[in-house]
Amino acid sequence: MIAKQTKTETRNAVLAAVLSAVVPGLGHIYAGSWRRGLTLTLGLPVQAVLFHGVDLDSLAYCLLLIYLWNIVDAAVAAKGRTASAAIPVLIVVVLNLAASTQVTQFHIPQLGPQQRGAMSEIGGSVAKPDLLTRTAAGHLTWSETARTAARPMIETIYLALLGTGLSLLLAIPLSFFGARNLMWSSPVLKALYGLTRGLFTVLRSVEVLVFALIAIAAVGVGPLAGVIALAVHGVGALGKLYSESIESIEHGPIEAIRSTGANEFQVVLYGVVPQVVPQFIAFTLYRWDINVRMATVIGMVGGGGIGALLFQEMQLYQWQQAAVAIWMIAGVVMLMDYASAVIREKLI
Amino acid sequence: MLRIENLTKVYPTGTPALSDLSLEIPTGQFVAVIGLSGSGKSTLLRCINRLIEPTSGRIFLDDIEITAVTDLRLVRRRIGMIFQHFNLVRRSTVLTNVLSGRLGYRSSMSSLFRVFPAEDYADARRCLERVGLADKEHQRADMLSGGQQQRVGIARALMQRPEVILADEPVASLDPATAHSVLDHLEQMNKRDGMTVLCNLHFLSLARRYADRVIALKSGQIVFDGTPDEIDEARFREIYGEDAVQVEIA
Repeated sequence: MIAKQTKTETRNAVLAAVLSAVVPGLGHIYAGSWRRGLTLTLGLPVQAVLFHGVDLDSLAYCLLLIYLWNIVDAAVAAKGRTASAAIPVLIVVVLNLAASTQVTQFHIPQLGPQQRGAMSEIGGSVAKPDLLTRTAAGHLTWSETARTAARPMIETIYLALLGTGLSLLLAIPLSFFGARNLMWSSPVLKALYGLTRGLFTVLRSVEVLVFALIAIAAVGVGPLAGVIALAVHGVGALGKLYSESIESIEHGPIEAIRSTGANEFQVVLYGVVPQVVPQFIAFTLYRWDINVRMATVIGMVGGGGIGALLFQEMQLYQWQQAAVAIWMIAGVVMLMDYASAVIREKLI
Repeated sequence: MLRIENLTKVYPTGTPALSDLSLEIPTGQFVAVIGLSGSGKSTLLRCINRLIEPTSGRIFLDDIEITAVTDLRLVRRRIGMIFQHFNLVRRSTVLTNVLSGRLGYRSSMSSLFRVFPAEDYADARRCLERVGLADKEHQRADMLSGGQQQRVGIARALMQRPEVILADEPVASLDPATAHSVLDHLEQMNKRDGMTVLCNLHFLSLARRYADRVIALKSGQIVFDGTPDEIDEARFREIYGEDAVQVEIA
């Protein structure tokens, strides 16, 4: 009985080492360390191919170190123990970092006097934005640039607001279908849950910029394209967050309110809504804040708002004018960031 | 009078919780239901207000068959319920939590705007005063201690003007001193207002102190039904198993 037990728990160490020498990780699999074994069996060849693919065969040879470790580790695993994998993992990380510096031709740029001049000119202009000017009478007033930039800045805020509002309208009803606790009672509902969550993931993982380019192709350059892009992407982002807050509600209070004789509508109003509304508001504000930042980038590709102005001025090397837009965006983003943080803290 | 006839509950997973249980509880009795976890105590209480649908059997409150009514709210509002984990809406104020006890009497339309008639506000304040929390009405429910939250739970049940109180382990999450203050309120509702109380309890000592009658459940069946002092050592082992030792709660 005892002999049988030891036999099942430890295996032949030499055989494990030989197996891992022939195929990396095979000895581990034989020893029962499935995860580590498969990682080695699949990971080592993939890593070697990656290095070879960018003509870094010398790094591929360094993987022999991992191969040798794999033989020893297989023997250890066969004895029923698990050795630390910290050193081989570290080696792999260092090799890949080395590869990335080679591939990107990374170096500290050597700036000649000409580049240095350009850099200091831009830096100086950004530090002295064309924000204020003096009238003929000598009064300090907003410059022409600032007056021009104000409108697209406000447009950007509203663009982000409408984008957020539209995604909210779509995400709220959808989020109930994406909440596991409401959808787990039948296979049909489970399938709907999977579809909804899948939709959220797809919309969320495609960048806003991609949606913006598609929207511009469809409706032309302008703020409408920006709104559509933000709204579509936002449905995925907000829907996921809303669904998760519905999933996190407590069932106890709902049971308690139902037991008072309240009807289902009253149960939702007094049991579900107070639990989710603060989170819904907080997530929506957070999304608006993100959308203001996104909207400026969208503007650069033609989605309306201040991004377009900034892009134009940068192309014309009007750094003092561009600086006005940059500082305005920074100011608005900081304000919104602060405001949404304060409100979120109050609500949650 | 609460009458239960041949009540059986089998969960969809196939777990039997109650089997062929019959019981009569006269109006105004304080009944403690004891038994191990999983003996069917919670299921029994939840079948009475149909938070759980019985598999078969009938339940009557006076001459109304609870298991047959279609408009559940008319029955549910006559039966107050108190929970182990209080089950308050944490983010709502104490007053809102208490007012929600009146929802069974009010229309969806008035609930939509979250307004109650002035008399409901007056009643809610009276209920809070009764449980000693008059000064807490504007606080969020989760700012209160466990004992205070359970008293809000009692006030919410009082708002229903109930005839029956179902208390599911009302003191299992509380310390001994607080447990007594909560049970004292239940005793008062029973003795002073004549409400029938059905209370699940873990500790036999608490059942002895408060109940007129003790019912013991084991595997969904009644294994004892009598006065608290009839439970001797042999009966105790029968209810809780051979290895059980009596634990006193002061």
